[in-house]
Amino acid sequence: MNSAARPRRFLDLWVALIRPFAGEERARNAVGYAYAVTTLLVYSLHTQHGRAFLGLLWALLVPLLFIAVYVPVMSAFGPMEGVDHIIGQGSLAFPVYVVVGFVTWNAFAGGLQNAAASLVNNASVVHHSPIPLSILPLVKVLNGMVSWILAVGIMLVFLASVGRFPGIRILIFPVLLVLFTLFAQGLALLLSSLSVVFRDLLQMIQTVLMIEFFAVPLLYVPETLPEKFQLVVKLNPLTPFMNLTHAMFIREHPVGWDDLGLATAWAVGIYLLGSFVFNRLKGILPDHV
Amino acid sequence: MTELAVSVSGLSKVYQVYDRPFDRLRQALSPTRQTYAKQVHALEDVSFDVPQGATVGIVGANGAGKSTLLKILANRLRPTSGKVEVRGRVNGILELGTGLQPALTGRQNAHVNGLFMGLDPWKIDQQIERIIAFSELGDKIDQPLETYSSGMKARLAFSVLVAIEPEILVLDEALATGDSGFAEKCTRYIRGLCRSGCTTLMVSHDIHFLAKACQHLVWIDKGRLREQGPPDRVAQAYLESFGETGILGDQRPRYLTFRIDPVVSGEDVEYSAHCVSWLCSAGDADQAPEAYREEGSDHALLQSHFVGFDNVLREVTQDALLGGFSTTVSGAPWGESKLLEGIPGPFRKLRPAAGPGGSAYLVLPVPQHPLPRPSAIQVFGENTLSNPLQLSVSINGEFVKLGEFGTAELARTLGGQTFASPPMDLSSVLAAFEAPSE
Repeated sequence: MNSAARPRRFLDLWVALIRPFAGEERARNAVGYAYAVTTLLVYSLHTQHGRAFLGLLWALLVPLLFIAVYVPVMSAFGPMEGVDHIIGQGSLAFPVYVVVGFVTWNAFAGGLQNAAASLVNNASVVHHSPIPLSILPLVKVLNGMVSWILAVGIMLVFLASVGRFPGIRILIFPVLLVLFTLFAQGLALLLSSLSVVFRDLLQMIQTVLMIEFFAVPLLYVPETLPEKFQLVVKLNPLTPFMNLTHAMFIREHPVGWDDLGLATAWAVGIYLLGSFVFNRLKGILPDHV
Repeated sequence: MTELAVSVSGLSKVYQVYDRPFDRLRQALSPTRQTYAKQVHALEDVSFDVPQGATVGIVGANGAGKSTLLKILANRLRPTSGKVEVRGRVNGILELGTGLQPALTGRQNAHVNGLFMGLDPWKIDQQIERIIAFSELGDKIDQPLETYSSGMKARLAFSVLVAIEPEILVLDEALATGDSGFAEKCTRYIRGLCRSGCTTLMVSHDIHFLAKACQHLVWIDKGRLREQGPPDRVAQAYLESFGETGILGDQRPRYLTFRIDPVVSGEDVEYSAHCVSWLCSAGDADQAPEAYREEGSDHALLQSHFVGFDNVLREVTQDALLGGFSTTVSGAPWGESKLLEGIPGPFRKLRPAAGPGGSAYLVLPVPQHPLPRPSAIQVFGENTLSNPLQLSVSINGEFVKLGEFGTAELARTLGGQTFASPPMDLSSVLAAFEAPSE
């Protein structure tokens, strides 16, 4: 048959892998969904970086520039007192603490902001396309995560070059990546659908992110804060993710199992809430966009 | 009995309009049925059936609810009440070029757009090749979209449609795009789809095209089903309705619907009119600086509408020049029409070939204030028939005969079978609109 479609072998492979658990139809749907997400993600990265002279290198350069700027600036303040058991010793300890937090924060906040606006900004897709709409926020969240992965790679190279390679702790990364993506996608589903019916939300997200930036342990070590602020930081949903990030990069940082538990709880909880609201609203989205 | 592909019954769609943005949120999350919105009825109690393999056209004025109907059929909007039963996979093409991105190349955009249109990932590679072949964009396909002209973008956007193998196709209008060669290719493609047994529902303003391509027409007027049935009958009723619309402040209708019939029934009406002119009485002509007055005539030429095709227009102009008219003189009577530049804007609709009932319809905008009230109408053209034609005008849905034309009065000067009708009196027609019945 001349016009027979060329089979997509790797798609078939995935279907074969998933089929025993979900049945043929659901497996095909899941693989189709994943294919659409991956394709759109690649093009999303392409549009973001493709036109720049250095292209995707920018995703690597930005964290490098962070290191180049923040490490000397933070070093100028001299070593932090009394937090060696958390951030380690030496003049590089605090700059490293801040920079790893920063690249993580950037990936999360950037991805979330784009994801929250993804339905409002793609009205024609919401109106006209038969694809599942949750793809739109997911692509933006994953876009942030890809830049995070690249930044983590750069950080590891840098840490190895200054003799601070974290070693076995890097195994936290895949776990954290999954939890963080789940958490971000949950928030993205919640905010993207709500902002369609309540546009003001998009402006509010920026403000909340600004507050949040100071409420996560990024520019400070929580133990140096007065006790009542410590509680606020502890209750902040992003704190366990940030603690785990620090634990993953800094050899001296304690690995908190409570952080892992909290991060899992937040990720699953927010994801369930986000999916619930998104599914409740998705039928009426075309009416409002 | 043929099996139904689509069955719509009692379909209504109410849009919620909110005074305050907060009400929108409250409504969206409200577990109770309390409503915070004003309701706008886009569709009310619409029912019709589409047999398997049929081609159904949907007509109606702007804002009548056609697009809402299509969106519901394509499962993008939920109806407020009523039922839509669909047998088969629906592919809705409600907009071309969804999600096109300027930074991506044509090929990449075909990929993205194809995904958004719901193409099967298993077949997409091969279909992209088909899309590219149909678009005839050649090497340009690997250049970023931002370097494309709008015609090239339209080509790409339409071509994605080719990759879709629908069982039930829902099409919104204005799909045939690009230059005229490509537009024709698009139209051919759509017709081919219809013929291949794919059930098709389409919206278009081109009633001429719909009447030819469809087996069934549905006319939606202000959200309600006004009429449905065989295309001839619905198309005729739809065209005739233009005369009913919009009586303005100074009591002139906005449009008049004219009908051209062969005097001998059964003959085709072919290129029956090239130019229809509104005339006013010579006394009123001072109010209109553009009006062209001929010595010794009681009438002045107020405005002309070219109707017909490019080549006819060119012919007319050439004839006028050959006939001794200077371009300035001929420019004045043709008013706002642009010579030699395709079909000018002012006329609404023409069905020149034989159509419903063997008649041609012209829907012409009536010259409005501050132009003086037209008192007569004159038809210029070429009649290839051996018999004259008859011009009527619709008043409240009934056609009133204005007169016959088509004898070659100008033949001596212009050659061939070109004619100019004597001015046909319109004053009684327009008077009928002076006191609109309540």
